This record gives sequence, C-alpha cells and structure tokens, in this order.
Amino acid sequence: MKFVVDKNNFLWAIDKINHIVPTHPKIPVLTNIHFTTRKPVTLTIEATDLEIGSKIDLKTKVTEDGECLINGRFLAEAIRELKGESISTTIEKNEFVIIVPETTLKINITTKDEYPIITWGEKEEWTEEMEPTVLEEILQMVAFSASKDEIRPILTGVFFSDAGEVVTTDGIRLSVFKPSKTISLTNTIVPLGFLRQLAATKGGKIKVRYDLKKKRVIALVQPEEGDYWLQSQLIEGNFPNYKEIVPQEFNYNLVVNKTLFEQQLRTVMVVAKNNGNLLKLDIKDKKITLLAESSTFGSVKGEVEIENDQKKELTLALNGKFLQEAIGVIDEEYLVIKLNTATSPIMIQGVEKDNYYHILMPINLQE
Amino acid sequence: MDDLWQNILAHLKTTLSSASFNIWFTKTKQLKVQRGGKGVHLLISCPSSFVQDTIEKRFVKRLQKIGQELISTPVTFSFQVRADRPVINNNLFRPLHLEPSSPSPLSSPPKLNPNYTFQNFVVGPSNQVAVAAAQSIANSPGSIYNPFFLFGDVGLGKTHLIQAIAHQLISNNSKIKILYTTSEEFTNDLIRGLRNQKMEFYKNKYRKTDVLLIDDIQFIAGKTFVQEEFFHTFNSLYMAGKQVIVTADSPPDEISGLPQRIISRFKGGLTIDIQPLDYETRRGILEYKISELQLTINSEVIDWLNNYPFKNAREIEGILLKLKTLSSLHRHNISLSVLTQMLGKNRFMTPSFTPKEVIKTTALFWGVKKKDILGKGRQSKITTARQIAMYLCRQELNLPYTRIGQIFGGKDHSTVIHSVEKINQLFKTNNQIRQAIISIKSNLLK
Repeated sequence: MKFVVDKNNFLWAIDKINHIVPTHPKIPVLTNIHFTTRKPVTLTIEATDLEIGSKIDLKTKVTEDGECLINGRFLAEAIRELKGESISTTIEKNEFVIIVPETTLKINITTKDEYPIITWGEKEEWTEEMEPTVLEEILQMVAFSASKDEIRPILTGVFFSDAGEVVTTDGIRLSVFKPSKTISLTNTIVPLGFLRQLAATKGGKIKVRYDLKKKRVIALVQPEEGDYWLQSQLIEGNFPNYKEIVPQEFNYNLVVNKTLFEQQLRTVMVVAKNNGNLLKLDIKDKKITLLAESSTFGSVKGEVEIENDQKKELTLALNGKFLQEAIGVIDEEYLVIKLNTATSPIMIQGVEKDNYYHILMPINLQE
Repeated sequence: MDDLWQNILAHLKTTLSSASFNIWFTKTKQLKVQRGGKGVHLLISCPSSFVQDTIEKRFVKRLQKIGQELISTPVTFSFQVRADRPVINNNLFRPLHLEPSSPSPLSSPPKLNPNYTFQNFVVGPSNQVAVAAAQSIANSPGSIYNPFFLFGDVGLGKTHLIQAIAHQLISNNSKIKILYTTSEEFTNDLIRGLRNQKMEFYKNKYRKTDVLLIDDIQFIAGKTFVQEEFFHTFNSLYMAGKQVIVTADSPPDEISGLPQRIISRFKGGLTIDIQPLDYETRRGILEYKISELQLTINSEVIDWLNNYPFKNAREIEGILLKLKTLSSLHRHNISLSVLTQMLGKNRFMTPSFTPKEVIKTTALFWGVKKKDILGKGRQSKITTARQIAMYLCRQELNLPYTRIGQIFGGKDHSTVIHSVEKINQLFKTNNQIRQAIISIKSNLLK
C-alpha cells in the first residue's frame, strides 16, 4: 500500500471516521480504522462499531494497492503533530510508515482477520436525495425527546410514520413533526445517532438508500474533501401507537407569549433544577403562576398572562426542564398549552403552525 | 435437523476465539431448514447487516464444510437480518411520581452485617494496629483519622472492621447517619442517576450522610466519571467534617488508574493495612470459628489446623464448614486422615496464591515492572507478560474475565478474553511461552 495525500484532507477524514470508532469496543479490533488503496487515485478509510459504519473515499495519488488496520485515535494524534502539507506513506514489515519533511513515523498495523466486513452496495440506486436543511429541521424539532435509555432501543430512534410524520418519544414526552418536504421512508425507525452524524457533515444534498432486505439505511454526502458514506441498522420493532395517547379534546387552551413565558421559566428553573426540576403551575385569574422550591436555596414564583379568555382553575406539576426543551423548539410568537386534568397529557404547540406538537406527562403530586 | 445450526456452531466454536464467536454467532438463529435433492439449505437470522456480511464473506465456506462433515450431505446457507428487540408494552405515558428530593439515610438503615462487630473481630499482631485505629474513629468520627484508608488482601477482615466501626457509631449515637456501600453500588447509583435524570437525588444520598463507608474503592479506578463524582463527594463530606472510610486491596499509590488528586486525599488521612495472618491471629480465628460453629474436633486435628498456612479467615471458615458437614454426615468426629485427605486433594481449598502474587511473579520472571503489567504499555515484552498474567489468573484462580479486567487496570473483559485465548494457543504451540508459564507457576507454588 503506497499513497501520497494532502495532510489536512487526511486528518479531516480520520477525525470524521474516528467519530464512529468506539471507545468501549465489543471486540478490540474495532478501535482500528481500515485503510484500502486502489490505483490510481482511491484511498478508502472505513470504521464501524457494529451499529453504524462509516467510510470516506479520498481522491489522492495511489501507487500501490493494499490494505491495513491502524489504531484510529493514535493515528489522528500523530498526524496532527506532523509538519508539512503532504504526507507520503507505505507499508514496511507490518508497519505503516509516514514520511514528511524531517520526520518518519512508523505505526504498528494490525491483522484484519477479525475486522468486520462492511458492504456498501455501490451499484444500487439511491432512493431519494434529501436537502440537509430538512434533516436539520427534523433533528431540531424532535431529537431532544428521544430516549437515551438503551434498555428500550425502539424509543432511542426517530420514527418515520406512514402519515409523513417524524416522531420521537422517551415514554414521558412525545414530539411529532411533519417536515415541509415529504420523505419516502415510512413505518421505519432510524437511529438518532446516525441522523446526527449525517447532519454534522456539510456537503450538499444527502443521497439515501433504504436497504429493506438488510434492514439498513445507507447515506452519501459529498463535501469537497471526499465522499462520506454512512450506514446504520434500522431499529426493528413496533413503535408505540403514539396517536392513542393524544387527547382528542382539551378543557384548557392557554395562549401565552412565548418570549415572556420562556423568560419566567428560565428564572424559575434556577431554583427548580436544585429540586429535581420540579415545577408547579397554578392556573388562576387569567394567569399561569410558575412555582419552584428548593430546601437548600429557597423558592421562586413567576407569573405569565394568559392571552385568551380563560376562567377555569387548575394546579399541576411538571418537569420544568422538559417544558423548557419543548417550548425552545417552537419558533412562533405565541404558544398554546392544552390541558385536561392535573394528571393527563399536556399538549404544547405554536398558535399558527400545526405541523408540530409536543406531549408531556405531568408529575403526580399525590402519593 | 432442527438443531443443525447449533451443532454446526458447536463445532465452529472450537476453531474461533470466544470474542469472535460471541460477536458473530451468538445472536444468530436457525429460521428454516429445506431439504432438497442437492442437500440441505438453512436460513439463518443475523442481528445486523454487519454480522450478515462478515459471516457470508468470511465464514460461510467453513460452515459448509462443518455442515457436510456432520450430516454427510452438502449444506448451504442464506442469511437475513432480523434483530430480537424487546416488545414495548403500553405502560408509557403514565404520570410521573414525585420522588423525595433528599433521601433520609435514617429511614433506610445501612446494610450492615449484624455479626461484623468489634466483639466478633479476632485481634492479633497482623491487625491490632488497624483495630486500634478503627476503635478511635468509632469513638470520635470525623476528627482524628479522616479519611481512614484500610487496605489488605482478600478475606483478612477489612469489611468486618469498617462495619464494626459503623455498628459502634450507631450504638454510641442512634441518630447518626451512616451510609455503607461498595464502589460497585456507588457506580450503579450514578449510572441510574444519569439515566433517570435524577442526579440531584443520588448526589444528596451520598453527600448528606455523617459517615460514608465505601468498600473496594479500587474498582472506581479508571472510570473517569465515577472518579470525578467520588472526588466531589469526598470533598463535600470532608469540608463538612464528616468521616470517610474506604477499603481497598492495595495502598492508594498502587491502585492503577486512580488519579493523583484522589490518592493525595486518601494519603491526607490515615492509611493502614491489615497484614496476612500470622500464627497467633490465625490460631485466634480458628478457635473463635470452631466455637462459633460448635464443632467438636480432637486436639490432634486442631494442632494440625493451627499449623496449616491458611491465607485468610475465609479459607479457615470454608474448611471448618466442610468439616462440620462431614462430621454430621459421618456422625462422628473427623479424624486427621480424613482431614489431610480432604486438604491434600485440594478440592476444597482456595488457590494458595493471589492475583497480586501472579502479577508480581510474572513481572519478576519477565524482567518488567508490576506497573507496566497493569498499565497500557504495548512493548512486546510487557504485552506478553501482561497476557500471561491474565491467563494465569483465569486458569489457576478461575476468576471471571470482568474481575481480571478490573485487576489489570480497568481493562475491558473482551481484551482479557483475547489475551487468555492467545496464550492458551501459544501454550500449545510455542515452547518458550510454555516453559515460561511452567516456571512462573512453579515459583508461585513455592
């Protein structure tokens, strides 16, 4: 294996691939990056954690075909310190040799016998091309309410429903968003980590292929530096029937100014975060009073006017941090908070757009 | 035919390392068997496309060969991805329940063994200094020796002694808040706190106590987040004049992977070891245990037991319990010949050396330092020494892979499996390695 490559491009590729290299691998060999060269101009860099796979094809001068495995993190650290703009490499006696002016670096290589074989299905067609803004919009609106708990893996993904909605839930809150552009994926759960990795790569349109036979999704982004491929297993299983938990009617529809509400919420959260984020809402006399207490630090009360006519009274409790996250993604001047009782699901959405809503379960104050 | 795939895997397993087999094959399943004129075709499910692709391209020829050898007819395979995922029940979207904001340690008493008191602790030359320090702390917590760091080999009474402190403190002051835990439980609590977004709850649990006792603190070494949280917990308690007591299997400096700032906190208090049993302490424990178990043993047997080099109290108790069982089975006192036969077969004995001794002896043999074996150095000599030491811990001491990983500086159990498998193979094929292992074992048994 012999090639010459631009140092910055090489480092970009290794850093990008290292996002996939696991810190706690299921087998030790996964800490390595797989390099393959094909004459005259293709250098491929690949890694996997056995859930997500990543590959970068760099166009560079290749004088000898070959392949090897090198520890990803060590390589990145080493390359970063090298001088010069161009790197020449070769393999000599089980060592990956890097030559730059005044420095020769030799790195032990590992046998690829135990490294997974990753296929990419290059000759197949793409299912769709997605604008990166659509993906960014999806992540912004729903990513925060996906579960982080691997015990229920279905809830860690993003569900693309057959009604064109994108949904996440962690069992306590639910976000439902209808993107402006339809996505052809339906009734499928995609790992959130995969979508985040994809969104983090800026390079124009995202080509996506859904391999339903192998139950995986493969994507390609083409920034200037090289072709960036990403694949992930789709999450198998039945997503909860989220429509069942959305109430059909609400007794309370409270319209509030989003900026004022957020400001009061921020103030009250200074105390609430010291008490498990517990926030009480007291609805009375055309106001919502936000209350929080902490035995260590004290208490706080903040009031927000209800903009519409509202005469009923109710007291309930919520996780204030969850409420902050839900409101934070709504980009409108006014919000509507819909409720029934102190223990039934709450809906939060913007007043004007109906392409998004968030459901949050309250905290039951009675033991 | 229904278990053909399992039979094939059973054969394949003998040709692969455990790590490889576990990753590629344990989650595969036979879905269908089709018999035809050209042989048997199996449809196998794989948990992911990575597994399917690797099996198809790397192992399928081997699988076909094994299959043919088993049933004397060609066997072919096709694979499909099908993951086993737990079913989500519909117990989602229930109202959350209010958690108490600060737990009250008094309302849930510490999990102490009622037998672990000062009265039941046999004092001898090997532990009398540790006992004296413990009693001082029990009389005056938070002021004299804080923190109290007690170290020593397994089975010498560290947990007994620190729990004795706890019992004494409660006896002196029933309102005192005591929290006894292990570093494993401390770690699990933090993970639960992170997962359930209840970090405040768990922080309060550990920082609002009057006395914190943590057993086997060496297990937090190398776990950055846990170490961080322990450091802040320690500081919070120490600054408030609260007593901290920890135990470990080594002095603070020798716990590989423990950051210097925690080591220096430990060394700022009193560090004491419980030493291996000397004759007097051993005899004292024997007499106490014989009395506790109400054993009737003749003087010849007692003399013999007194002179046997038991390593720790657990070993003594183990043998005496066996004697008690034998005695009740045979309905008469145990004779010396039965006893020596039982000990000579070594069936009931714990190994006569410890992981520390394995590491020390291996290091000495290979001319490397103990800390190199426990560290991350990848020089060939150090790696070989490390892998051999892991192999011996597994083969001779039958320790679990995860435990070995912990002993060797917090290494992942898959690394240990890989090392053990490798040395296992080399033992069969490499004369130098085989001779080295035989010599090290011989040195350990001296």
